[in-house]
Amino acid sequence: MDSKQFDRWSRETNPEPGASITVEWVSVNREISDDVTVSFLDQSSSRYLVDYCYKEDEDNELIYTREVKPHVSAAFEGHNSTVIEHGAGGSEKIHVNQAT
Amino acid sequence: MDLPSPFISPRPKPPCTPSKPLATLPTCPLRSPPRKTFSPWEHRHVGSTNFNLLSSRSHTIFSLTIESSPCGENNEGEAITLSQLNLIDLAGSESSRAETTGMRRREGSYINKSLLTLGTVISKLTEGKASHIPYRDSKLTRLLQSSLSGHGRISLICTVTPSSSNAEETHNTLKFAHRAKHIEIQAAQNTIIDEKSLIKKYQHEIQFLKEELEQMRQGIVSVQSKETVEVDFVLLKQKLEDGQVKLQSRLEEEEEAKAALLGRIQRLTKLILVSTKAPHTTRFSNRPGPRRRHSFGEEELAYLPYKRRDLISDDENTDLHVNLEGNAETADDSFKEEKKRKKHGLLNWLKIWKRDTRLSALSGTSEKSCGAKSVSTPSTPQAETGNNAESRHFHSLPAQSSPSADLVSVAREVKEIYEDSLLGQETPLVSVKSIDEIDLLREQQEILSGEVALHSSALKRLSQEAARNPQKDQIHVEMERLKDEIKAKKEQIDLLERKIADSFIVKNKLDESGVSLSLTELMTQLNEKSFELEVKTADNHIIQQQLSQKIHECESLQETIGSLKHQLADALELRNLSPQPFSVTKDYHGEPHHDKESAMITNTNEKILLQEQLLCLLFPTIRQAR
Repeated sequence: MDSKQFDRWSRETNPEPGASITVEWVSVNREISDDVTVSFLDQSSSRYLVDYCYKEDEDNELIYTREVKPHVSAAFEGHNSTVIEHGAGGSEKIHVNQAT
Repeated sequence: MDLPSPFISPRPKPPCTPSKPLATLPTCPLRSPPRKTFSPWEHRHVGSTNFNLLSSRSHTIFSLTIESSPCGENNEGEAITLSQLNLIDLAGSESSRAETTGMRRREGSYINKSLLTLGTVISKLTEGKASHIPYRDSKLTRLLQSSLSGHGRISLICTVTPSSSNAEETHNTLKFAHRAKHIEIQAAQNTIIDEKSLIKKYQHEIQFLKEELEQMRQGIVSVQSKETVEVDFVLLKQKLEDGQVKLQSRLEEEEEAKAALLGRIQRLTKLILVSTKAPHTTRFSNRPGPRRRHSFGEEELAYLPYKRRDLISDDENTDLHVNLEGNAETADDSFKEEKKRKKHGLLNWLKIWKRDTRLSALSGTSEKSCGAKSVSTPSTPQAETGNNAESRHFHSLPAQSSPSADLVSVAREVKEIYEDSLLGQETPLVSVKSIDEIDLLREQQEILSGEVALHSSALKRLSQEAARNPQKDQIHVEMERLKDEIKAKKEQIDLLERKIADSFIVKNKLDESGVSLSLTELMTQLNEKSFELEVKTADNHIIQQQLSQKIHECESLQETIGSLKHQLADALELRNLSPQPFSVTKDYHGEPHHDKESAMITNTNEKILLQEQLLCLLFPTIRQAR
């Protein structure tokens, strides 16, 4: 499977009025060349292995070129292809889909 | 949250232009305005939630079907490919905190259900087991069945937010991604066939089948070779089986032979045991032994094949049996002999007793025979004087024969006497008288025997005088014989004395007044004994002098008969003349006291005169002969 997961987050502050200072509680380990490990500060025991993780600064066009375009070309060659976007509500899924 | 960013239209460059339009949508090439391409986004259902004013309340699926064929005229016969591109925008996974009432809640439940089934399908696929996969539990999974079945390419893009408020959803998204990473997919190219392409396909199939036929033929050849090998194996197996059968038969035969030999050995051992035991049994019981052996022999004959050996063994057994029987017979014979001996002993004892009785009778008969012989002597003295030697031989022979005849006659006389005595015993008084008469008769017989003895003694003197001159040795022999005769007579006298003593005892008991008679009887008995001695001596001479002619025997028999008649007559006369025998006895009583020589010299004349007187009185016939 060539499925690839990428996460996109921003450094914007929470809408909560109480929070005054932002804190990064999600860490991404890229020591491994092929895979990337995503873990949380509060829950050190849980780690998730994914193929790649895009940063917040990266643009949708980059994601399209890397993740979706090969499937389109494959479809024209005769192979069935599927692109699925899965995420919580408000995680900018539509932006990626519209980009395609 | 920021609203969606402005649109940037991508311009993909397809490898070639499609020759035909899509079946589902009557559209123009992709170079058409982009607005038409995004027409499905208009159908997107949007609603407001607490988190997002324009929250998607449904899944969005964009499916693009592509059918392509190669370019150029030369490739018209080739196949056409058909593919499908699915772009799916899943609704956001929401937690229970989002909305608790109203339309939004139900929408949320449906969304969560479809997402759950998608997760379960993916987990099932990752397990790799041949288990049921619930594609139809939701429409989403049913539409994606062709893609998720493992024959297409899938790209799963998961979006997360760094805000801590959505940590739960983030965890779920990452779990989903992690699980989906393990699905194994083998992409394959899909193709559609036209008539021409079908023809080509069929031709290819025909070629393939022909090749298969050739391969099968080669296989058959190899199989045939195998069959030939199998046939050879079958033949070998048959041969082996035949060999095994033969060997088994041989083994059976050998086993039978062993059994027969063992049987023989057992029988021989039995024979040995029987032979060792047999003598003991036969010793105890002779009869059943041979029977058992015969039966055993028959059994041997039935079982053993060698007849000669059996015959030999039977002969040996029979020999042993014969020996044992012989021993038994010898034992039986010994018993019988012992019994016979016992019988003989008894008979001998009986015979001895009878002989004793006969001897007692003979003693009486000898006296009578002496009388008879004395009568015959005076007729032959002249002949004797002429032939002494011949007469002696002749005397020996008749002596052997004469006593038997005399005994027979004497026995008859004795019987007659006893019968007379029995007739006489009518009353006790008569019996006493008869006894006295018997005694008198006996005394008379004794007197006669004495006279005969005197005559014989005279003959002896004459023979001695004649013999003195020629032969003196013969005289000595005769003297010895006379001595022996005298001893015998003395013994007889002793016996008579014992009888007299017994008779005296009986008579004393009967008659006390008869003492005088007993004395007279004793005197008579003494005289009788003396006469007997003289008679016996004369008998010896007579026996020596008698002739072997029958005439002499006849004469002696006639004389005996005559003498018996005269005795009877004399007995009757003597009843009237009782005193005469007493005087005679007194005269002869004195002689034994004197010596023989002196008595002969002095009293020869007296004796001769007395003898002549007695003979004249008793035997008148003799005078006539002289």
